[in-house]
Amino acid sequence: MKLELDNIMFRAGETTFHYNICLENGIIGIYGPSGAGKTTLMNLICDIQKPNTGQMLFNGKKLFDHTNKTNIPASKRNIGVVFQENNLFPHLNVKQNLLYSNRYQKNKKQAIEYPTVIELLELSDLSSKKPAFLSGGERQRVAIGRALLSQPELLLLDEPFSSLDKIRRKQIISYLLKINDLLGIPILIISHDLEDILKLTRNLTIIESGKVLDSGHYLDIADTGRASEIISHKRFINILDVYHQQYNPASGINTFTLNRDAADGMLATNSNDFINEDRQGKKVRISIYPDDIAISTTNIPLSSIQNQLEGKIKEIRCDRDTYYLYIDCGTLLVAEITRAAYEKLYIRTGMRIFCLIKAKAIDIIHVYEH
Amino acid sequence: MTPDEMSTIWLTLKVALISTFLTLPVSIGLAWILARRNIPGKPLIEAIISLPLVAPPVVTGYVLLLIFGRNGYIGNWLFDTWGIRFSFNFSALVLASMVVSLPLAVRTIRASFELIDPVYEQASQTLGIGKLRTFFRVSLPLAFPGVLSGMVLVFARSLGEFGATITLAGNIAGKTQTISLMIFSNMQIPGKEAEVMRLVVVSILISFLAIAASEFFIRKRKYLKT
Repeated sequence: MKLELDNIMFRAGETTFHYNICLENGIIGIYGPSGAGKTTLMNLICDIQKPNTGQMLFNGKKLFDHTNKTNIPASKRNIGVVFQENNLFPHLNVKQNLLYSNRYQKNKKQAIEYPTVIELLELSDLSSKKPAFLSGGERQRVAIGRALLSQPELLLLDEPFSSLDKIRRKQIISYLLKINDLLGIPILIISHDLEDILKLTRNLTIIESGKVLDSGHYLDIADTGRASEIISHKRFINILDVYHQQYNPASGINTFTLNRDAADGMLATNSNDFINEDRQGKKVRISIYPDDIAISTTNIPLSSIQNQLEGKIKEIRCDRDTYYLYIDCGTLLVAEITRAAYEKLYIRTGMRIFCLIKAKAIDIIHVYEH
Repeated sequence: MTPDEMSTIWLTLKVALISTFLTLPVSIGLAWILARRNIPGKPLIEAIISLPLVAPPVVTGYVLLLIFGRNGYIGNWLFDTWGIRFSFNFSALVLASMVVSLPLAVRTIRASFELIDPVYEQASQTLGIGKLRTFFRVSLPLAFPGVLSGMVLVFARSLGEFGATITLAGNIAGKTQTISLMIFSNMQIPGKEAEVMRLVVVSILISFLAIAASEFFIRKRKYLKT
C-alpha cells in the first residue's frame, strides 16, 4: 500500500490545510492535538471533502488531481472507513450492517469473507441485534467488520477509541493488530491519544495547524524536535514484541523471551488475562512505561522484582530534570530516571546496567496468531 | 347511507389515495434536493412550492385553471397533443389536491431528511455504494417516519380540500363532488342536517384511521429514537 498526498491544499473559511505526505504499508498513526486537522485529512482521503489543489495517489492510481480535474468518488476509492461515532445504519441489524456492501461486490475478489470477520471480531452472538442495543465496543467491532467486508485496500480509522473505556480500548487495539496480522490489511489510524497509537505502531505522522510537522519512527521524531510541542519522551511507552516461553500455574507467572530462539533476556508477568499454556512460542506484544523501569548498576539477586534485564546504555536524552536512557537489552528500551538518580549512579553512554521491571508493570496488548 | 353518499365517499377516497400516491415521489425528490443540495435559486424554488400553503385556496384553484384549464397555457397544449383535460373532471380533483398538499409533504419529508446525519450517507459511499443506491438503502429508510407523516398529511389535506377543488373541478354531483363539497351543498338545503352529520362523522373516522395507521408504522420503527 502506498498513499501519496502531494501538495494537497484545502481551505475551510480562514483555515488552510496543507498535506504533503507519503504513507506506506503496515499500521500508520496520524497523531496531533484536537483541531489539528486530522479528521480533515481523513475526509480528504475518502472524498468526504474535496481538496482545492494538489494530487492524491493510492497504489499508483490517481484519486484526485486538481490539474486534470480527476476526482474518484468515495464509492470507488476502495478505502474502508471507520468513523469516530462508528455510524452503523440504525435501521439494519448487525448482520445486515456487515453485509451491507456485499451484494455490490460481485466483481471484487472476496479476500475477506463474512465467517472470517465474524470469527475474527467475535460477532456471532450479535448478528440479529440492532445497533441501538449494542455497547460502544461492540458497535466499534461491527463498524470495523463492516468496513473490512467492503474488501478495502486500506482501513482508515478516525478516533476509534474516543468513546471507549480502558478495557474496551485494549480489546479494540488487539482486534486491529489481529486484522493487520491475519489479513495483512494496512491500517491508517487517526487519534489524539498517543498511548493508544503507540500500542499499535511506532510509525507516526504528526499533524498540527493543518500541516504535517514530521513523519517517521516515534523516537526519531522526538529526537529531531520538529514536533517538540506535541511529541516528547515524556509521552513515550515501550512496546515490545516478545515470545511466550512458559506459564507457571503455581505462581501465575508467564515468561517471555526477547528473541524467538534465544533464551536470553527473559521477562515475566503475572497478567491475569494471559493464562493459557498453548500459547507457547507465540509472538506477544507487551507495553512497559519508561517510568516503570528502575536502573541498577548491579544485579540484585534477593529482590521481589521479577525482571532484571542486562543492557548497555546507547544514548542519553535530557529534558529538564528528567533523563531518558536508550538501553540496548537485545531490544531497545527507554527508561526514565531523575537527575538525582542519574548523578548518583554516574550514568554515561556505553555503561552496562540492569533494567529492573516489576512483573505487574508489564501489560500484554496482543497475542499474535503467527 | 344513500348510494349518492357512498359514491361521494368512494370518489373522495380515490382522489385522496391517488393524490397521495402521485405526490409522494415528487415531494420526496424535492425534499431531498432542498435538504441536501446547494442549487442556485433554492429560495425561489422553496417559495414556489410553499405558495399554495399561504395563498387562498380559491386563488390557487384559479391559477391552476389559468394554467391547466381547457384554454390554459399548458392545458391547451395538453388537450391538443394528448387529449388530456384538467378541468371539471376527476383529473382536476387530483391535480388540485396534489398542488395544495405538496408543500405540506415537502416540508415534513425535508425536515426528516435534514435530521439524518450525513455521515450515514458518507459511510455508505465509503463502503462502495453509489449515491443513488445510498439514497434508497440509507436516506429513504431513515426518513421513513417523515415520509409516512407526509403521506398522512397529503391524504388528510386531499380529504378536506375545498377551495382549489371547487374552482378547478367544480361541484358536479356524482362526478367531481367530494365529501367536503357535498357537506357544503347539503348545508345550503334546510332539513339536510342528518346527511351533513353522517358525512362529518365519516370524514372524522377516515382521518382518525389514517393518523392511527401512520402512528402504528412509526412506532414499529422506533430505532430512530433510541
